[in-house]
Amino acid sequence: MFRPSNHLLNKEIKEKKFKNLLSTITFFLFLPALIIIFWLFVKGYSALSWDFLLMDPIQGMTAGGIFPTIVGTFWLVIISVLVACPMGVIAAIYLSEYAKDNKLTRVIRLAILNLAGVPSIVHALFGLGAFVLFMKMGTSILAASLTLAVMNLPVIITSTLESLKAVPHSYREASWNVGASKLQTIRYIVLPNSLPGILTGVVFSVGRSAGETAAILFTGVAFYLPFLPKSVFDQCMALSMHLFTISTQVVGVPDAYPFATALVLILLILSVNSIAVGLRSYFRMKRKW
Amino acid sequence: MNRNYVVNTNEFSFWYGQFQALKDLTFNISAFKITALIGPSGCGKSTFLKCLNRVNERGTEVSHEGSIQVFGEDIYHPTVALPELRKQVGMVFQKPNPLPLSIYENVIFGARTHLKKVTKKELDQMVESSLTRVGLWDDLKNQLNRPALSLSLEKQQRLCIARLLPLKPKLLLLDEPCSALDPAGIEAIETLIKDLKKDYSIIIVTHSMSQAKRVSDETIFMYMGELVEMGQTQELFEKPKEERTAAYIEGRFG
Repeated sequence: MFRPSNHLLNKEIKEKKFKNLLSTITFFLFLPALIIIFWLFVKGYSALSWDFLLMDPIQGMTAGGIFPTIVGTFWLVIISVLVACPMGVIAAIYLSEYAKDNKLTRVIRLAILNLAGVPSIVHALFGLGAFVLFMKMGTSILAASLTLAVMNLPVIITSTLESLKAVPHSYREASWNVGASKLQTIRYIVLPNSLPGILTGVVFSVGRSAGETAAILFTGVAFYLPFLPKSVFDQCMALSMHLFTISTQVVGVPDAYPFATALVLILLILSVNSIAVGLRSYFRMKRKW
Repeated sequence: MNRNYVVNTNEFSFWYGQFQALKDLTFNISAFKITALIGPSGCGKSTFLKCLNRVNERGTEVSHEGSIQVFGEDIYHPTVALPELRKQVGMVFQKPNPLPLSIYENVIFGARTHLKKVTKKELDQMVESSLTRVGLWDDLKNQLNRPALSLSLEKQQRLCIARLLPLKPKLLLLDEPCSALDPAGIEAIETLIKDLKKDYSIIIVTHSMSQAKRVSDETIFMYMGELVEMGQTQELFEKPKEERTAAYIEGRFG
């Protein structure tokens, strides 16, 4: 009497088919990433060497290495994070913990979401107008980093808001209820418990800015600079921009060079992202709830 | 100020936005007694409890008329500092809500936020005396660094009471403190509440009339935001003066 009816059997078959479909699609989503890395490796392997990583580009970028571009990318990324991270986290704390839900804050939230959708080339033009020309920073690492920071702010704010929201409201209530002030509650309860999420968001935004090209194009990255930047007011080279240059703008670059450059860029981003994943699981383990 | 009363309300009304949750409440609650607030869901008993340390003012627009005095002081006076009020009027919630910290840190969390300098020794003493008071010390003295959230619900609720004690509160508010517990846990917490009466004035909101009968000295019956009847618990349950009280405690509605 508990044997399945035909109808039920049909349902089970459908269920199975659907599950297979989903797993296949998921697999195909994962596949391109693998293929890309594999392909870059195959094509770029011959150019990879310590010299390639540690030498300046020479002979009109047709030989030598990519050292200044790696250094430049680090400058850009680090300064942009140093600016965007505190601002974004503070804004998110204000929006989540202090701001009342009214028209103004709703407009602010909407603006943040929209800012995240602005194409990076538009950010670049904004950076050119605001930082390079209006604030007279010139095309410099500073201007480019600030442009990147503006681009990353909405990402950091949104991910921080999410992680703050994930801290159960009852914890805040419990803390207020023993007479802790709002600030104390944020300091001792909310932030420690949302830190993993916040860090993950920040680190992912680091990866994003490392690969960004358009936003730094007019604001601080040079086509070719035979020396390393000495201060934030210098220009610099960047991996992403260099990849564009040697793939399309220069004749006579060895075939393997663009692939090797792309590989370095991707591995850099992947390692930054895996730091994020590692941090998150470390904090998860330590978490007490 | 009358020393015998811990809470005096005077024509107190309270609104969440447009909705009037409490209407013209005027009564006194005795000190060092357990007062039960009973009534059907939505009658305003929890709202009233939350007004007493003003934890319900976040998120929604609230307004009030009239006054509530706790130990003779108007708690809605503009000079009242909420952290100070909440320190002296502590609340225990329906669902145990220990902080995601160790047991030790939970007990001293409140004290830490209020005291500028405390020595490790003072903190240790606070933990020992508070946990002893709620009957957890013997069980937990060797595992104070355990996460509080790994405790059983009953022990979590005891801990939630314990963490109020280092603040030396004058009034304890319990919002259905047993509704998440099993019968053994309920009995244990009720025993604890009765024992705490020696040192603290206690107001308890409860859905369970038998619990009100078991633990409280005085009972307030509320309905639709109004006070219907208030009296000695035994009298109120045996000889209710109001028809609505009688109907509620006999289970004819609610």
